[in-house]
Amino acid sequence: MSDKILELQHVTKDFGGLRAVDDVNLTINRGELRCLIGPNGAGKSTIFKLIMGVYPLTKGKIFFKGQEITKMPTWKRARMGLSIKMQIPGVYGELTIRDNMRIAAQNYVNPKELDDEIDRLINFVGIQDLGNEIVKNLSHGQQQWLEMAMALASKPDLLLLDEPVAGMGPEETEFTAQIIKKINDSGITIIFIDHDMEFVRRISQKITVLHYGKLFAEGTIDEIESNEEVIKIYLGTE
Amino acid sequence: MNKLNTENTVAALLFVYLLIYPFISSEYNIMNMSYFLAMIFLSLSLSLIWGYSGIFSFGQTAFFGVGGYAYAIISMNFNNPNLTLLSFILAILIAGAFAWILGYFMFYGGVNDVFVGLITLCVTLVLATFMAQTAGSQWKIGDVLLGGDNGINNIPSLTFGSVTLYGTNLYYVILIVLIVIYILLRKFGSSKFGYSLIAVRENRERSQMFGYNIPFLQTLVFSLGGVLAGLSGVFYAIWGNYMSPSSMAISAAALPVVLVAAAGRKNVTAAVIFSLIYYMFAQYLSVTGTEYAFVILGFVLLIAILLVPQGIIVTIFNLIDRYVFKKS
Repeated sequence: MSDKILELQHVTKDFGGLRAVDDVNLTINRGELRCLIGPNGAGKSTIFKLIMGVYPLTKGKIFFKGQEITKMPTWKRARMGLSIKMQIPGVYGELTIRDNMRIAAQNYVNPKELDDEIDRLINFVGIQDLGNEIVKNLSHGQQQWLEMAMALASKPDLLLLDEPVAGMGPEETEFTAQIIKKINDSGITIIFIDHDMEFVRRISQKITVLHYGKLFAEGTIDEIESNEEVIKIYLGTE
Repeated sequence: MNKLNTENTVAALLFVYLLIYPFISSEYNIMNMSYFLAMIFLSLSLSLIWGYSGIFSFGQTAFFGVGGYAYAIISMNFNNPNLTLLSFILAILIAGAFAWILGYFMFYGGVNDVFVGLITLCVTLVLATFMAQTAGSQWKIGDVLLGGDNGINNIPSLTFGSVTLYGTNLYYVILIVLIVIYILLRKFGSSKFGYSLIAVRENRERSQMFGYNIPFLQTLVFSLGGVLAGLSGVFYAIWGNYMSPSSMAISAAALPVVLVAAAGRKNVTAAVIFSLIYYMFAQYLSVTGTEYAFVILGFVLLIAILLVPQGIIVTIFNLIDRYVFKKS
């Protein structure tokens, strides 16, 4: 089996006259915990949506587990093992936590094991006491954790996390970092987007920098932080 | 005792009442009640597609009309009482197939939300207008004249063996089918398919990322709604031995939407109760003109949308649950 789990070849996306993603080549290996960084508008979230098939590509190809998925509908990609936690929590606000989890899990879990699996996942992200709570009443952090549990319910091979700690305090961020490490340790490949460099340093093995839709740099956290071009565009010059 | 709540209690009492209704009522009232029950399927069809899966349709009376006309045309061409059951089944399937085709082009074409309402309304009105102009002798299918505005008369009653359904027999058949479908719809709410539809209703874009084939689910439930509306149309045609384009006209098309919205669109029991109350009320007022019922219903809808957007019946259920059954 190939080590590559995801491969983007010359991926380009135009929105009208705006080129949001420009000829990006990106390879992610199985088991990686890769971070995408870049200034606002660099195309990070757009790349996630291209990987999930929310937007069609303008040019290029995407391969997942060795199979081309460029034109595959989103739901089939999800069933192949791709999963995502969105930037703005993509939870069902009017439903309870358990109902949210059921919707996320029922396509992947044997009906007899569904309740146990829901318990296991909400316990894993620390919201087990809130199962019957309506989701719109939860805090932002709790919604983020719920969505992470929902994203895990499909037993994915590759998990995309779009700003998993946005809006969280230090303790919540630390807890989230532990969750992400545990998910990765269980064998799930993760790509995540974040702006919090402390958080990135805490968990990431390899970083990809995007700028104006292009792949700008790639390397370990030390390599990226010492890259003068990256410092100039993103990390600040002082 | 978890299942003891207002909705279940009211539903049980209502169906018990309907089961004994023929013993305590006149033949005339039984006939009227058969008509009311037949029309409830139309509200249930909308409750299914709008309430469960968020598809707002003005087209349920189109499927009602297709079902009724299909039964009339097929059964009158067969001209054999033993084949009325086959005609019944074929007519419902045709209504479902029509809904599937319309749904396929809408949902796989990316049409959603208010545009589904507009398209389905247009389809309904086109169908009603088309059928209204089929008055000449050139407009016939097989041996059956379509009849234009006057519609089709002398549609055969449904026959099982040597029993022709009429009066109390017909009443019980409609009631039993209604109870079965009601129970299925209630069960369906907590099934895997039911949750799939809730996922469609709550957030289509997100749900596809959980592996839901959204256009397929929308098309499927839309066609099931077509089957239910078609069933309503077939029962209507059997009940009155008559079918006309007015059953698809604008006021008829708006009625299920009004009834389901005012009752509480996510609750099938509410749709059953409110539809029954409306049709009984409309019948009561019919001696002075049914339009009064529409005026009052319009007023009730206005109040409902302003004060209780989740629906009148659902709000009453919740209040009784809170104060009588002590549920939060």
